[in-house]
Amino acid sequence: MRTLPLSPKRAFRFLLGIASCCALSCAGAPRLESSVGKWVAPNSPQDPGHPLLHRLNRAEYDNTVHELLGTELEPALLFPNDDHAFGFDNNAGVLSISPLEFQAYEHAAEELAAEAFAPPPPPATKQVVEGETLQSSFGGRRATAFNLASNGSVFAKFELAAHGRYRVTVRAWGEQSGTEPVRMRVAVAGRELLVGDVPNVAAAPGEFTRDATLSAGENAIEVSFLNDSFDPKTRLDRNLLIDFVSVEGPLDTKAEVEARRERILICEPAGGRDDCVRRILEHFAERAFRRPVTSSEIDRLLALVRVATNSGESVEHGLELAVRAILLSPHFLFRPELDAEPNAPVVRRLNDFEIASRLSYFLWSSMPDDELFRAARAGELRATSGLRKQTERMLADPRSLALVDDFAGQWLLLRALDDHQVDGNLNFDARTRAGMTEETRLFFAEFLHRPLPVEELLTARFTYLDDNLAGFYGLAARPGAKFAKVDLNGAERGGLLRQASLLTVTSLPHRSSPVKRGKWVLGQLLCSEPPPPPPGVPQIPHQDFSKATLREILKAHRDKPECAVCHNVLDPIGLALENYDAIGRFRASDHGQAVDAHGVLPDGTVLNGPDDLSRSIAKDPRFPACVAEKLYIYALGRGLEASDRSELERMLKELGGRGFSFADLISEIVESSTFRYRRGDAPKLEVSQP
Amino acid sequence: MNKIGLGRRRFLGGAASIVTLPWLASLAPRVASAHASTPKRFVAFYVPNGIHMAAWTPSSTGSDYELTPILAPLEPLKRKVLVVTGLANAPAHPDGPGDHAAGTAGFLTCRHVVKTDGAGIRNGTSVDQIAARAFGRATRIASLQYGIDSGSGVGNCDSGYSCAYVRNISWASESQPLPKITNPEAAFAALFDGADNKLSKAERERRRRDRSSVLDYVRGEATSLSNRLSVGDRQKLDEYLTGVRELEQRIQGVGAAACSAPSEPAPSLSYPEHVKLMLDLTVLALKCDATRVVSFMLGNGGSPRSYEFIGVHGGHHDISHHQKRPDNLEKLQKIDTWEVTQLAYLLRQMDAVNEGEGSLLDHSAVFFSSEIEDGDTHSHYNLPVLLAGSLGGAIPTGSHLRVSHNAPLGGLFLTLLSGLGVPAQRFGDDGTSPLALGADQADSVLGRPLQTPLAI
Repeated sequence: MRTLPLSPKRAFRFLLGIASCCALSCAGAPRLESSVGKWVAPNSPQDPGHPLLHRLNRAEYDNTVHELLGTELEPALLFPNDDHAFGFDNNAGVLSISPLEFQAYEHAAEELAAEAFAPPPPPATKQVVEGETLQSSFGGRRATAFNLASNGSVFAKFELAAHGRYRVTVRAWGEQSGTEPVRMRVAVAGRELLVGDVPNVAAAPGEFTRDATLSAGENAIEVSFLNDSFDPKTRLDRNLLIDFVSVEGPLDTKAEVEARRERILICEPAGGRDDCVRRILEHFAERAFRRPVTSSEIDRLLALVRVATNSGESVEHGLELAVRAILLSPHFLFRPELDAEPNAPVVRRLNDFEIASRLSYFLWSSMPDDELFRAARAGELRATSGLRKQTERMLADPRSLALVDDFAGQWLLLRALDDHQVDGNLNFDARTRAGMTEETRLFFAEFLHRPLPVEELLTARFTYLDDNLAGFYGLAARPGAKFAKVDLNGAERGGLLRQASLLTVTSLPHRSSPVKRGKWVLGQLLCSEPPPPPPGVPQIPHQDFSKATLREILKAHRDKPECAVCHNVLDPIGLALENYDAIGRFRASDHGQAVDAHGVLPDGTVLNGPDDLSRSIAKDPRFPACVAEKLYIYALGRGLEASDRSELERMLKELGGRGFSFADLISEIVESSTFRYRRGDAPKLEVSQP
Repeated sequence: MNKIGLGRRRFLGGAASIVTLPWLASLAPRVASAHASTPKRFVAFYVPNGIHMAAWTPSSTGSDYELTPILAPLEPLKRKVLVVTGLANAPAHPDGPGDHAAGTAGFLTCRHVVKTDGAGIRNGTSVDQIAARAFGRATRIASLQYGIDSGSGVGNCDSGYSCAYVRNISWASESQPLPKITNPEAAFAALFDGADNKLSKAERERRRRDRSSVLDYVRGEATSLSNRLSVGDRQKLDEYLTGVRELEQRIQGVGAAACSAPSEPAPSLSYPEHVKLMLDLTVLALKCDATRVVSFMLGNGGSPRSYEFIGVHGGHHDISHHQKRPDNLEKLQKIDTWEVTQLAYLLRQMDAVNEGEGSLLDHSAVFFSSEIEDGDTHSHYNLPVLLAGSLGGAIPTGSHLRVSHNAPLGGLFLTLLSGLGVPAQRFGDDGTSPLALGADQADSVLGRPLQTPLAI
């Protein structure tokens, strides 16, 4: 059992709260209790807001089907991207459905249901096709191998009993010549499995392996030689030699496949008895729709099963169609919270299941699990204590890492690292890129799971590194091949501002950008982003900057009053981070000149390097307020209205303004009236279009 | 360690960019020949961050103009291209900063969008969607939206304008952007609907029946749910039901595909390969008459992409704020020329499809432009506009046309809609009359009732 994730400060206040009834815990919820059933003026203090119908976004869809079906498929990879609003992609206002998106949902439902109803796989086998048995006009047999002597392909054919995941292996080597190693491509039915170098020689062939989904029946594995070369002078020839091609599988175990079936088929439907079929439908639909279902809903699903059985299909096939239909239903793809009077601003409390979904999609980006459903059914989520108990349980669960990827990933712009472009001259490799993301993820996760004040995000003297990233940072520490916690005392690191991930996404491909870094600090950390340059601002007069430092170039535009307004704030912040280059490496000098990392803010505050900057942001009351604002927007899935802002102020006051942990903040949000109440839409005056 | 997996991206991006994609190369060119009259198509081709205009705009007008460095890749197609200079998209001027967002959102709508980070986005219906709606049930897919950059997974876009404005040029309504497909595998699936052709006839029939039953069910559920929602929320169910209807239409085989599906594409590609593949799919979709309307975004508004593979270091957006520095202008010229090379590739592929009298290109209108004129000034005037294909003779290609100063882009869209057989009275905020194309034939184009199909 883990301890309460409360900071000592808040835990103390909770103890005090016991004496004065639920001074804290009731402050949010019952405030609107007296408004229930009444009309409220939009944006008045009694207004909990009218959340729009929320469609599952891509992360929510994948997480939900994983929980629901136990699948490892990731269908959302093929969905169009979700739009963002107010910094997040879970904003109901812009989560629309285009025809192409609907089609992708239909396709996903078909695949997911097919997998869920897949028959038990046959036992795994390994089939090997030896090189010497292959035939192709691009080469011929060489001893016990096949020699692909010129650019072209050879096919190894396999007869498979079942559809499933298989391991495809090609054992090969090259007769190397010229400046580059032999290159090979392996594909099946035109689908590429792998392409790349075969640096091996005859004495030490290499095995090249990739897992792939193959269908039942004949599968031809195509092996291609891509870079034939022959030097007529030296008579040196380059060839690809194939020792064997093998296919092993299916890799899905019988237990895995059966477990997936049994999630849905909770009784034996084969006889077609209605009570079993109804139970199956009810059990699955309840979980998929995340609420109890009505008997007429079951009737309609049963009718769908009957349509199939009446045309000669098995009951099981009918059920598969019903599962497809449920996965395509608007009750699954959306999270409807239905009001009795949808077009009147009447306040109501969310019901048990609506609260459960709000909680699980906030903390897990996924559907409620069995325990949360149980709590909802038992009415435990109506009481603040029950809500808090579940919140704590869910935060302690690994699924809460969704907050790292979906909240922090977007708040800090960490997700942008995945496709941030870095100039080739900087020798930035994929391992370092992935490591940078991992550092920030693990670092942030610590703040979710331990009662650390949010300000320590900036000043912490620890991080998580592996050997590669520690080396990249130039640290002596060797935490190992896996990421481990590292003490940073004495290092030029510590806190978010000095993590390579964030220093990189706030850089241009080829150099650091003090302006972008300043903008990131002001916008993401302080919620005070200055406006971009107004249109019509004349450019800095063209002058010779070829020998100027970045600092001198920036100074030139601060000399212009129309630029200075914003850059007097942006630049000193960014310049304080100039000790870190475009990929976040520490540097004492840049282009031969010592880095001058000091700047003066308009109010006279001197920022001397990253330590100063981190400390002064940590002290700034705008920082905790900004963290709360961002998380509140994310939790609600919408931008903040005036009434939400007063609720946010109230929460911040409850939290003491600073020094609170993420767990404190999350509890406060979950217990707020905005999170637990809603109203119907207010009639709008028709605005005539021009 | 398996070296193959790691080396792959580099491999495709480097020396092997000439490797053919077998799944496409293996396609037998099956021409849609059964049409009573050859259909008209519309393609919008968007490039981000403006164009280096000094190296784009030809110095003289008329048919014997000289191609500029950026336009040079179009040399073999010069006869089929119309360069239009002087058009403005004044409504795309943002409220304060936000030119990339407002310019991209207004790219095909000519509307002044509502500045918001998310609540209450409002644009207008885009020209491609007006055409798609009018073409209606003629094809399996009403329209396709393809692109390259999905957006970096984060939501800070442009100066208080929602990312929806920066990432979408096709808008089904004032409030519904149509997100583009950037994943080649997904683009393929959208086009070929689960590679149906692998199934036997009986299996296909069974699948069609199953899918219809499922769609019948969800249509019923969505309709009854819709009745319990607020007016505002009903719009989302309307979008959903549009999806149901379009898919039903596909399943019933309306406008059946003239092409069968090749095998699926490889999932990860370098940027140039990715672009080529999406353009190949565009041509395939048009050639098979799976759709007649495609929009394509080479990047998102204000794209920061680095073009090292053509020797340009630095981010595109950053470089586009060129401050008239010669080194930046030289880089921009390289990037812009590469962009036009991609357009030329698309046009060549379209021109290679023979459709009886004339090619696929001859029966199409391809509109190429950017969200702003120039990256440094962020102007919405004097836009870089190029049309290719003549819509069966409706567009007098083969010249450089200078229109009256700041003529509205919306007027050009009215002309194109006419040529597509979808005449309209107004377009966007300021398109009030069709733009006359071709100095010599200005009157005839204007005066001709363009809604009657033009003979080739």
